[in-house]
Amino acid sequence: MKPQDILFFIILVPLFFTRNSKFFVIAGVVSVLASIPLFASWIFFTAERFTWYAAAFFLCAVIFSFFRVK
Amino acid sequence: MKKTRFLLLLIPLLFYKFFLLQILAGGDWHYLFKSAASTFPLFPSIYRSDVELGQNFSAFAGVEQYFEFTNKFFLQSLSWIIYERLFWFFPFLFFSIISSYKLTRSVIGALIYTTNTYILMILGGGQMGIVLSYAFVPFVVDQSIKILLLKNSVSNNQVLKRVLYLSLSLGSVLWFDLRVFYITLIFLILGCIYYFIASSQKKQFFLSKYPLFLTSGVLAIALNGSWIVGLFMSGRSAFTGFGEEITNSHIISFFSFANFSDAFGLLHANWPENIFGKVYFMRPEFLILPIIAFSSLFFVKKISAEEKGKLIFFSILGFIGVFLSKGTNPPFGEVYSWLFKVVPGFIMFRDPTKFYLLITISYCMLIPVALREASKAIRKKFKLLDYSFFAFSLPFIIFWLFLIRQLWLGQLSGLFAPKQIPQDYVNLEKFIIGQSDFYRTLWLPGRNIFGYYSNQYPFFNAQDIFKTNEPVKLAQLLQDDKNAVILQRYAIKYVIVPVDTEKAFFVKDRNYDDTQRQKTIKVLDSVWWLKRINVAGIKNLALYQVNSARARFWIESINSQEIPSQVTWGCSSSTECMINLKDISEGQNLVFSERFDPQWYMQDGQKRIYPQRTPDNLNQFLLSHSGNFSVSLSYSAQQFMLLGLVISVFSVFSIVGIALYIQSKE
Repeated sequence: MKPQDILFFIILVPLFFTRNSKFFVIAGVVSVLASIPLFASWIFFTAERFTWYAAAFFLCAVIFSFFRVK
Repeated sequence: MKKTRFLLLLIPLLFYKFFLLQILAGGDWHYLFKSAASTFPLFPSIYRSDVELGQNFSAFAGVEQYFEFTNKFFLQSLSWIIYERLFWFFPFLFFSIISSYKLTRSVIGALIYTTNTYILMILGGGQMGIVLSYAFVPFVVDQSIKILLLKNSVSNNQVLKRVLYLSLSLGSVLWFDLRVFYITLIFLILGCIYYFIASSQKKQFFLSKYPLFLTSGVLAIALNGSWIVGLFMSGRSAFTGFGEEITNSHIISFFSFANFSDAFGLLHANWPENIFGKVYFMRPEFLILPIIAFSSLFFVKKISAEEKGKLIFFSILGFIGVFLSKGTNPPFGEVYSWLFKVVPGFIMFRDPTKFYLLITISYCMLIPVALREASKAIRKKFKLLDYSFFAFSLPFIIFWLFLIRQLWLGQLSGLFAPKQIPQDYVNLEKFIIGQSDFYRTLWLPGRNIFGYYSNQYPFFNAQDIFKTNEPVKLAQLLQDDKNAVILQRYAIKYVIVPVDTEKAFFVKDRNYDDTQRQKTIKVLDSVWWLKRINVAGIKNLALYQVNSARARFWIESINSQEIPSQVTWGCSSSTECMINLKDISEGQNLVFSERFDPQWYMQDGQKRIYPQRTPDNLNQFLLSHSGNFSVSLSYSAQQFMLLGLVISVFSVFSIVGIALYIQSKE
């Protein structure tokens, strides 16, 4: 597991306890924004992983939103 | 919303090259000569003989019938320039804009759907069947969502109308491309599952919706009867032209060009040069798109319940599209490999970028919602007058135009680059059609987009026979006398080295390299069974005549020796031939220089004889008596085409008629 992955889980787990989809969306947006300068600087490995994390955050937001709506 | 509708006119303006009177050809979209179109059949044919050794084309859906029919009847009176616009490019623009606007109720949604990098690369690559199928997908999405959200209180006429509209749009998607239809089915299944889970009355939901979708599906298939019946009756013959390279699971790793970030940013991996296999570094500006799209989730609580459901569903759709579009690339690329092996129909998706369609639908729905709700929130919070268009929508449009700037700057290649047909190719057409007998041409390494071909004069790409695309190596292979026999038996009369106008064949490090072409010609000049010929008006094409090329039919003895004999023949279509035989001895074989296909049969009086496969995959019929006589050759699946056509025509008239009747009553 890479240090970036550990950081991702450190952020993800507490967010689950908040059960607030908005926080997941914010985390996702921050992840994507963080990846942009990394791509621009050709730091591809970490940049790519940040987009994975962003998608994971957004997916969690969707799941929480779905169950809240239901 | 209505005030900004005029901005829809921006979209066709971006495709300004469609409005110039110049030939657009490139990728898979080749120029067709009028004389070639005149050889297309009057009646839909399940079989085409203009490519290689001929092939059952039913698996290519109705788009082939559309191509042949429109060319046969309209290309004679229109120029190619007008024809391709009238029947292909303008319909794509029209239906894509209208359908996506109807679905999203947003100019931005229509802009995203019609001008994203995925569809621009497909269009640039000349894959016109996919393009037209893509144009109808938003109609399917729109109608199916409406059906899923139909309340029980709605009148039967309303329900019927929705079913008929869905069947027409689904039938149109299926007509033009089977793969896009398959992905549309994935959307439909996901939609049904989502709304079923979200429903509080699941049993009632299932019982009310399932028959509607089933009916639409059956009607959509009936609309496509003209080719589906033939496909069903052809059996395995429908897929004989598909090589193992198309279905091999190892190939999907090679074709997984897009990374996760590319798909997430709705950026096609080959954007903008569209050179096969050449991928680029991620362009980070495209990552603004998922930020905007998924920030719509901020507004989940502020929108109606129906909108919430759609928002969440299209978000999930986007994720699935991103996951599938990256193919076998991480994360969890093994899942795609597993799906390819296990899921029926997935074998059509050696190229995972087809799933960009799901991302496109998702983003064209989510992004307008995000912009709209953001502008509402700002208006409410700051009590601004309605200048929200200038705050969010206009900047997004400008940003989008920046993302796709290569389109309106005229920097895209392939079909987007207007062309002029070189005079050599014009004169080659005259030379080829000036000879009355049937023969094939072999293009080494491959046929140029202006290279002539027709049902009477089919073509081969040398790279497809000899499984290499290195031109000099291909030429060297022809120095082997064994390959001379192959070419002779395939009725190949001429070998042609093209003028590489597209810079597709003679390349080194993706740059055109003329020395390769010259070396290729030099090697071919040394092949003893190829005679270089000079044709008036052809200066740059290298043309070689093959020594002792066979005709389409010949007689062989039991030990496979050709017997000079009297064989005359005539074919009324790609699927019917009459052959007159003289001085035949019992036990001899009639060889038909066409791809082996058990659908062919020879009628000799009352007897029906089916072919055997020769070692080089041709058809061989045993002649069971001696003397002089005539036999006919037919392709058995063709007889079902009339039934299929009747089903299609009847379905179209019925569905349209009933829909118009309901509309008039309302």
